[in-house]
Amino acid sequence: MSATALRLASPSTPLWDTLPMVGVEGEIGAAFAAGDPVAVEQAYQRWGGLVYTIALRTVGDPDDAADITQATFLSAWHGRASYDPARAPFKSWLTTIARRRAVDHLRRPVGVREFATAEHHEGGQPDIDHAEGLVDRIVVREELDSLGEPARTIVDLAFYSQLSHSEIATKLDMPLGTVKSHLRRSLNRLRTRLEGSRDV
Amino acid sequence: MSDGNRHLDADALDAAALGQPASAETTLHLAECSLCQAEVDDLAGVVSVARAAEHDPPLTTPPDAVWEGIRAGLATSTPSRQPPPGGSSASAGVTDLGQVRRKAESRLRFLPLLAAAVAGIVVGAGVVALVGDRQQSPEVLASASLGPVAQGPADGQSGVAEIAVVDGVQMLSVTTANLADPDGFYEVWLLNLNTGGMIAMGTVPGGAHQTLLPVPPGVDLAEYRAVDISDEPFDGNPGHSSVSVLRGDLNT
Repeated sequence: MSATALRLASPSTPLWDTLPMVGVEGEIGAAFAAGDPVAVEQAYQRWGGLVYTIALRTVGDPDDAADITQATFLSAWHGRASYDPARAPFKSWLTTIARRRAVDHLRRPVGVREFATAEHHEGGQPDIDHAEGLVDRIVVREELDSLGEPARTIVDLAFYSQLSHSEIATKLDMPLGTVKSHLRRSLNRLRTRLEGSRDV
Repeated sequence: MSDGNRHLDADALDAAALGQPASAETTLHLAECSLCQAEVDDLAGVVSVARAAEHDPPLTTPPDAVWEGIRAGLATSTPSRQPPPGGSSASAGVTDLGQVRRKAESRLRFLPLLAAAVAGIVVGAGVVALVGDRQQSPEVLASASLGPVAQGPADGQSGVAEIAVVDGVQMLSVTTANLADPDGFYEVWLLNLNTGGMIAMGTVPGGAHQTLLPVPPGVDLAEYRAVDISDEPFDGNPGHSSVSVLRGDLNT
């Protein structure tokens, strides 16, 4: 067995800690759903930046983004009984609420909202599609950043350097099968995450 | 693989979605098979979002005042007056802590299975959809601790197998740890220790993974009471290689 294979076989972080529904993230989601107030702070520490960024890039104004972030966490807390861990990871559920809140904000009648600062408000009509595309990118980027190694490096080489499976295997001195399975898993994970964060 | 009746394998789908040069056979198949083409389009959509996001700035940290606002909102909210919109009032109002814990435990119990589906280890949207949409908790029928078999390398390799009913369908969940990269590939088997019968369940990768495999309907679990993982060479022989790496008895 090569040294590379040995290293892969004993990752420093167990794979299931990086999976969305088990490990710490799953525990926070379960505790939140069960009504543990401590879980709100834990969820905020972990996903506050994600929710705030979704709000900020959608509506453009930091004050509005702050309001949307607060409303997202509070409405998640009040609606926690409707969270079903079997349907989606907690992070996706939270993202769905943030996305809906942010888009609702854009739909508010002109005059109620401030829209001078947001570039996509030119012409006075909020561009909902543009906002949805922005949120998709934030969601995918966040999920990419949460991929462990060597998955992240493999994905970067395949997505951005546009190397083939076998070129990546050669470059990283890894078995081709390992490269393929990391890519497959990462692609599916990104897809699941993207779908899970959209309103059904 | 050029058999016109066969669909493209996952690697070919991924490669096509990533825009890698495809073989003539792949191109031909995609032109004829709307199912594979749809899968490629779906994955390509994900790749395209990711590529668009390549140079996006990192997440923005919210100002401290945002959390203060949430904390204030939590303090002033009275759950009994604000029933959750989900309908059930069970978690609102005064809640017995033990009840909370039990609820959390029951939800967490089968998470490895769900995690496998969410992580996309399970290839096949059908299984993902099945688990994702299920209404009832999976019922665990049997579980096995998988330990090293003497003839395989033994450095910390272990695993857990569970058989559960998910919405009326029996599934085998296989979780492995420290599984060295195989010489060929790992295959999971159900064993009938009385008759020596074996059923090939599917493959699992090396490393630490959770994989969900459907159990064929009609398998008598009273007879097939052990789970085995073998290292199979790429020799085209569908039988067991006799190189078992992990094995364990299913206990109900």
